[in-house]
Amino acid sequence: MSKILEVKNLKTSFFLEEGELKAVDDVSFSLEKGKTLGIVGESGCGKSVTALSLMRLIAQPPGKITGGQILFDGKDLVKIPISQMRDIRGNKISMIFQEPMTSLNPVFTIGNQIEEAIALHQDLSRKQIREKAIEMLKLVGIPSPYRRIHDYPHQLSGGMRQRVMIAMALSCEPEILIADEPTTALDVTIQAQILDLLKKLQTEMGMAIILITHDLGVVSEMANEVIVMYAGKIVEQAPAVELFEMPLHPYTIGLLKSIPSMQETGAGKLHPLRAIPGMVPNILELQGGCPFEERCFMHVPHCKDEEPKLRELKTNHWASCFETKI
Amino acid sequence: MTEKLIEIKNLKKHFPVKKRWFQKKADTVKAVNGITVDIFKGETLGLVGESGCGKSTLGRSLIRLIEPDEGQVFFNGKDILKFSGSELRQTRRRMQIIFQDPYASLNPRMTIGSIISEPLKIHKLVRSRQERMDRVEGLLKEVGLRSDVLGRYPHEFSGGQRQRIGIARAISLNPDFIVCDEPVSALDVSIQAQVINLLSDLQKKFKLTYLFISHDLKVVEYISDRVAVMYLGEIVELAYSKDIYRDPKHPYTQALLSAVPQIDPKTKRTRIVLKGDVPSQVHLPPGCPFHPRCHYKIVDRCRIEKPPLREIAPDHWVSCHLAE
Repeated sequence: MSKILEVKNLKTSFFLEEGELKAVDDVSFSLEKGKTLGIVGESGCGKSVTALSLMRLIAQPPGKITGGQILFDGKDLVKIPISQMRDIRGNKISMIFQEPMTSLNPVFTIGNQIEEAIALHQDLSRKQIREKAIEMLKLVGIPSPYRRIHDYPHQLSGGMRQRVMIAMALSCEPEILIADEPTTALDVTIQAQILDLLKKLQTEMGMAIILITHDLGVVSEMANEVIVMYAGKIVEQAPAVELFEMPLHPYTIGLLKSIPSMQETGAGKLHPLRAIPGMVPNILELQGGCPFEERCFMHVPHCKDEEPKLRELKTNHWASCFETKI
Repeated sequence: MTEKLIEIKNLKKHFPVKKRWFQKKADTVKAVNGITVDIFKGETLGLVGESGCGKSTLGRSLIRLIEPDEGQVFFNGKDILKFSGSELRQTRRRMQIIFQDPYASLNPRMTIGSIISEPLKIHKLVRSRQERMDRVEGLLKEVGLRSDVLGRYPHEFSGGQRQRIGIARAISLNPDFIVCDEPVSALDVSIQAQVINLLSDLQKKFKLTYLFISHDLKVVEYISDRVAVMYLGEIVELAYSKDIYRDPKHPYTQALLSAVPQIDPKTKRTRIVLKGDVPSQVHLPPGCPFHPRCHYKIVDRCRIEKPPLREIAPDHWVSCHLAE
């Protein structure tokens, strides 16, 4: 398969009064054409900062990409001038955000907002732009798009707004779609609609998706390849089927165990959930060693002294842990 | 377990929306639209449904944080909607609530010690300062926090710890009944499991009865004895947790369950995707409120007649004309 995006040793830091916060620390992965890569982790693990770094949307200052490469289309997105980045952003790589209400502009109609994206990147007449916008709304399943195009975001429900966001993101037929928690704010039934829509559009348009979420169920249904992040680092990476069948990193194992499963019907009351003790560490306070050591059920004294490197334990299955075995 | 702690009879809460000048009567949002259900002593009743279906309004109406418009709520056999003054205060002591947002439900200007001891002061349950402090320390230990947090403020704590503080406050008066209104929805997965385990431990220890409101079907299944599914202000299905998850009878419950993403990349399930959005609660559809989105082959009866909640199997209630 052909790699469409390659991220090598990406590092993004925020320079705060308290010191340098390494939000993304040495993250590498690649994305294949037409495939879905899932990035999972809890709040503050660096998944959203990774996505924003790919789009070069990190507020600077205080944030800065301090190292690494993002190779796309023969270019290193870290190095190119921001004017070139503008041509790529929203055109070849687009993004949808978690909260569709705050990411749409409340004072413009949804038509205006979709047309803006098209007008910016494509050389079309106003009439063609409008037609294209209506076509996009139809594609994402908004009923009576001719009328809806004049609506303002507040006139739409949450699911509809997320569809508009998707229409906007896909209006220039991007090669990569970055979806940052696209369904977190939605109800399960609407979530199912949106996920189905994304899958359908992916097969039709052949784009690659980077799906960022904390919901392991969503990742398992959508992704081909999964990255698990913890405290700014990748702790495990594997094909989805493999990861859920045989998780290797104790953090991934813990995450999977802490979700009540619908298969164990009725038995729930008998055994307590195996929660991960403690909480996510403050990245600023980490001092060497494995960042997960404090909460880990497998830890040995050695974990405190040295930070485990990501290593390939099985073909295509990487984990950063000294103790885990196949 | 068959002893009833709470009996809810035909409870209604309609919120008026802005009246237009040519209207005779203001439209209302039918948030809770005629709910009848019992909650047994020592059980956890799970309440699920999509946002806006009236789950929280129901939870709050029960303890009169929202005054219901119609119906009755019996607590230990007495209708608490008729209570006032000291009688109400006495009952409130035995019914508590844990809120969803641990950031908004704790006063940022109060120390943890004063947050947890305030209910004790209000109800004059402790005589001396020393006794109060002992009680608070005991409660903190109960929810897994160290007693040196007493003088600290809410902003110094993480979401999970704040939720523990909220739980300590709720159990401080030794209540019988706690409304858990989405207590784990704002928490990360690993922390969520910790709080769920804490809630079930406390339930066993203090023989608590919970109304557990959540939109997360997996969590509700795990913690609940019985589950009620709400749609547009009404209960559409009510049964024991294992029955409802193994064999959902109402088409809405079926769709809801099939929509939950499962961690099992190998089996591909057939998902029932519901058409459209939840209809407006101001103008409810005629007949069965679910018929515009239903995947069953609807008959004329569905469009005209509203199905009552009927017992389709022992202890399995469903409101659908077509369910068998």
